[in-house]
Amino acid sequence: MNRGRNIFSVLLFFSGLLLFSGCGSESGPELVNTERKPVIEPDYTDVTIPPNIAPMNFRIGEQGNYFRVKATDGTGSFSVDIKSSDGVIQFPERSWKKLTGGSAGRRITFEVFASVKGSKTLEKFEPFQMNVAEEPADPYLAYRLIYPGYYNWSNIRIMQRSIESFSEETLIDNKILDMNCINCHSFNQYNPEKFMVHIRGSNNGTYIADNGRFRRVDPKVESMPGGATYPSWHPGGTFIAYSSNQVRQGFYARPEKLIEVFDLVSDIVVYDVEKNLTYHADDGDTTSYLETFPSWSPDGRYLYFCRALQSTSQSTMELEDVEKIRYDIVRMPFDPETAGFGKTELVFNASANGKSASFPRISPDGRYLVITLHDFGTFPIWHKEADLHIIDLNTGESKKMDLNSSETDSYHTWSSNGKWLVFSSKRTDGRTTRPFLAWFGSWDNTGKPFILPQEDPAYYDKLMESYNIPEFVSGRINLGPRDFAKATANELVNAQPGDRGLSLSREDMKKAGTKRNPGERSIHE
Amino acid sequence: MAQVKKPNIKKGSPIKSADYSWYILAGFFVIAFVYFLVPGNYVLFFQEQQSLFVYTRDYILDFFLKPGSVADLAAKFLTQFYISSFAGSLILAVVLSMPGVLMYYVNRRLIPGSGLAGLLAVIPSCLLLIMQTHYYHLMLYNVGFVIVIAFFLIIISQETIRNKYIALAFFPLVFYVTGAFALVFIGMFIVYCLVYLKGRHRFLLPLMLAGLTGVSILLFDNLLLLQSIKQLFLYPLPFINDQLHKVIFYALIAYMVLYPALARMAGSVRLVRPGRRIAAGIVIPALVLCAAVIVLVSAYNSQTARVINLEKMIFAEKYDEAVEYHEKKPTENLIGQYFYNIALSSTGQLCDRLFHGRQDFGTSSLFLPWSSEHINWGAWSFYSIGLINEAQRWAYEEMVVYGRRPQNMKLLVKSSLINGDYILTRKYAGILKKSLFYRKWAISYEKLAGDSLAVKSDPALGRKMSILPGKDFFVFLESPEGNLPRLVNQNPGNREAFEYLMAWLLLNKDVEMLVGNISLMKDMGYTSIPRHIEEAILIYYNSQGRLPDMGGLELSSETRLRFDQYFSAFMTGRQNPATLEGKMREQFGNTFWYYFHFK
Repeated sequence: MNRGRNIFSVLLFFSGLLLFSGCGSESGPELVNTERKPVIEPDYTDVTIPPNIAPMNFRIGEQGNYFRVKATDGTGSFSVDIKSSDGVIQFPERSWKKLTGGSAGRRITFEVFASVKGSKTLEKFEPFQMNVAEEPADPYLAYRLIYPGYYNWSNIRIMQRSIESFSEETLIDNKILDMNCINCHSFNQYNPEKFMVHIRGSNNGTYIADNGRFRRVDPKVESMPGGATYPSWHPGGTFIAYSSNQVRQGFYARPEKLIEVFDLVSDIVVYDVEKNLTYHADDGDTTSYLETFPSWSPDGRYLYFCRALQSTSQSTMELEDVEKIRYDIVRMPFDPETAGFGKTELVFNASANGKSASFPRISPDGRYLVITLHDFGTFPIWHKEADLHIIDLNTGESKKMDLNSSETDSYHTWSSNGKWLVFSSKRTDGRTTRPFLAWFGSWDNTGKPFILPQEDPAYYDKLMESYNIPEFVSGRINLGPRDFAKATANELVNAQPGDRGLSLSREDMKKAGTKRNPGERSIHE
Repeated sequence: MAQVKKPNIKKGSPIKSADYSWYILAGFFVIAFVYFLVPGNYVLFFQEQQSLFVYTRDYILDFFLKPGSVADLAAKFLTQFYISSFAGSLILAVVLSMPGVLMYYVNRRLIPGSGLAGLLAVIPSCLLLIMQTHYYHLMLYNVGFVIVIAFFLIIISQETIRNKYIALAFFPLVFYVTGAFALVFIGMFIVYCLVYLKGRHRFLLPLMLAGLTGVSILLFDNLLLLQSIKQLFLYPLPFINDQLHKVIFYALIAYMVLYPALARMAGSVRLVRPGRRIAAGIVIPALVLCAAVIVLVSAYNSQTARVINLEKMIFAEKYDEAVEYHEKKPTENLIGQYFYNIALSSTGQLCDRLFHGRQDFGTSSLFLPWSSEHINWGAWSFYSIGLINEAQRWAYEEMVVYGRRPQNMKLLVKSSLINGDYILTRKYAGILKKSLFYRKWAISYEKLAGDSLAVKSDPALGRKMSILPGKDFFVFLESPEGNLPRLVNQNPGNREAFEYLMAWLLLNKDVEMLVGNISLMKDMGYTSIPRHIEEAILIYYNSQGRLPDMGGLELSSETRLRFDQYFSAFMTGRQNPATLEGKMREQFGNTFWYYFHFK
């Protein structure tokens, strides 16, 4: 494969050389300034990138069959010349490293030229820049590749990708796990050696990897409305908070939207990894709430989550019912010594503004909270209007972030140094989520986001799967699909209730068992 | 030097027999070609629709990820040509003849000049031909056997034992290419070694093969490719849920594995008399071919053919043809009747001709239930009534479960155009454009992306746009008929949904509910009442003694007259209950009245 590519590159080089020598006749081609920036795909103009990012390959969307790009580093001392006949610009990794290495805190400038064979002119576009931040991003991303489908799934893979190169490896593949659903990977403090993932169906269990060893547990206890679903590791590593959700789907009739995912019942629990005990996050409030998407504060003293009043509708949840459900961001004080919770406090009142909040994520310095804000419900991935908002936890001030688009911008995670955000955006085609990275300088200063670069810049056009739950990881995970397949042989250990007094209300039990459609079950079970 | 048992050649032995193998194989080829060109052509259409072969690096590289997939790639490449009846039949007949041709060369090595060579050679092809009559018997299965026989031939053709060892060393490659079909080779080769080789090589070669098999399994399972050990031993063997297919498949495997032994036995048969030579060389193989033809005829399922032919017409949007076909050659199958109803709806005749074709499944033939069994057809009824999101969902889910197929990709292109998702239109059309035979179609639809006026001007797409739901709601999945009143109320121009609703009520014999909707018709643009609705009105009139509110529309005198005839025929026929149903069916089988009283 590489050999073929090398031969192709040599041929391309010589044809470029010929073309270039053709252009460079005695008088030379006439240079025409277009006085505009070139169209490039993906749009990497003026983005801010980490110094350790892989080559930002792109396609030039201009007419022509001879293209030349000159990239010069921030010091002006090093430049790379790339020629292409089809507009695909791929930087050699070594040259790219030199470019970014000399540009931390500065800008790389790209000059683009295009020409049509036989033409005596060479178009010169206005140069564009990429800002190179001084702070690197965590070197790996973990995400799930899955068709953004409805009920059915086929191949599901959890992948790890080095953001410093194009190396992508499969971490878990359901092809050797009886095609069961795999979901909700979560890392403890970005640690590649300590993470968890749910596997459903015949190999069911929550698989907790810790230094190469696996435990297969089921944190579900009887008083939970469903299985353990959305996770968040406590920074101390002893606890994992889960929401327990009875998730349902509704499919829209009109073209503007496709799917609505909502909870019939949901609750927050905390699982003690060491003692194998599951506790309800209970503060004694007897109001019926839907509670989901837990997220620990970096100091582990608060558990943030989304909360909405539970619908009192007796119907099987029509659109009108779901449209009324709006989640706020709340938090509960937590004592790791006793696994005890204090009184719930309101952090962000989204419902008061007719909005609903999801995915609370606190910056590693504890100062900022980034959420996804959308019109209603709990699942912004299918909401076009969903945008990332930031809340200053010191002042309570909030605002919509600059990095949003007209399509869904949602699931987000901070890098370990708090300088980068990775989030899921549907801005490329409105249907499939792609990982975008954005530099976070301060409340007032964020960089233009960019899509995770690929060796083939047309990669995303062809890919039908979505990038689901992108998470930063501080290093390579030294495990592979066969390790998980072997781990399925481990005995499943059922958690014990940490607080035996609690039980699911009769109403909740009834709702949890509601079937809206034939054979319907919670989509995470 | 090699220690290979020499064929037993004596005076008057088979070596001097005339070889009729080519005539037999030519006869087989003609039978296979004609069968798949004419009566069995539906098999080609069905299989062509099972996958979309695209000429992209990613698509092709995917076939190199597990043992057996390379053979699948070759098979899918050939299957794309099934789009042409002639080319498809030709290719299929050639591939089905290949085992016979290869066996002919095998026989030249094992039993040169044997009068039974033609007979032995043609049997695997005949068995495959019978298996091929099942529409789920894919080209892959034929290719698997062909490669295995070819490899066997290559090995036994090596003159020296050293070369046999060298050739056998390529077994891991064959295992990789054919997957579990390589197990058939293992059986064949072991029997060959035991029967034809002498000395230590008759054991050493099988031992080497066992070693190579172990190495292959180790390599494929642990190092190179990601698949379960079960898949390694089963993929891509056919396990079709059909008794005849299963029996023949196992018979074929047994035949292949024992072939060297059978050949040895056949080689020892002396055919001295010319009559016996002709009988063995021509008559018996011809009888085998005749038997194959008899099995072909008896295994031919006209009902399956009708359903798939209807599907073909619907996919090609030849709705009038589909209506005529079902009325002339009624299908007794749910899917077939479902397609008939879609054809009626697409031609605006649902409530005029519903009972002109067989309706054995009541309302079930209007919407298929949500299941993986129906996932590749269910989209069409939703597409018909303008519930485009739901049609797109079914097409998308089919793509997720079964992969890209021409129809699901086409439906995704059309539905995204109607919904105004032009980026997705280009994405889906871009995939179709990479195929050989859907490229033109994709380009023509891709051109519309971004131009909503052009989409509106397209008669079919424009119509769908005009009947989109007016207001949003969650689609009813369990009871799809629940969507119909909403579609009608929100968009009175959606006659398709209205007629589906009325057809539902007709098939459900819910006359009360049906007549309650008639007052809406005039405002929906109806100038006359569809025939079956008129028939229902007269049933209502007959029981209630009054006509319902028809919103200003009137019953046709023709229907009134027919009702009078029906009524008097019914009254007369009632004298003899045993013959009543038959007589009424003969005269009024295509009316709602008959359906109401006798179904």
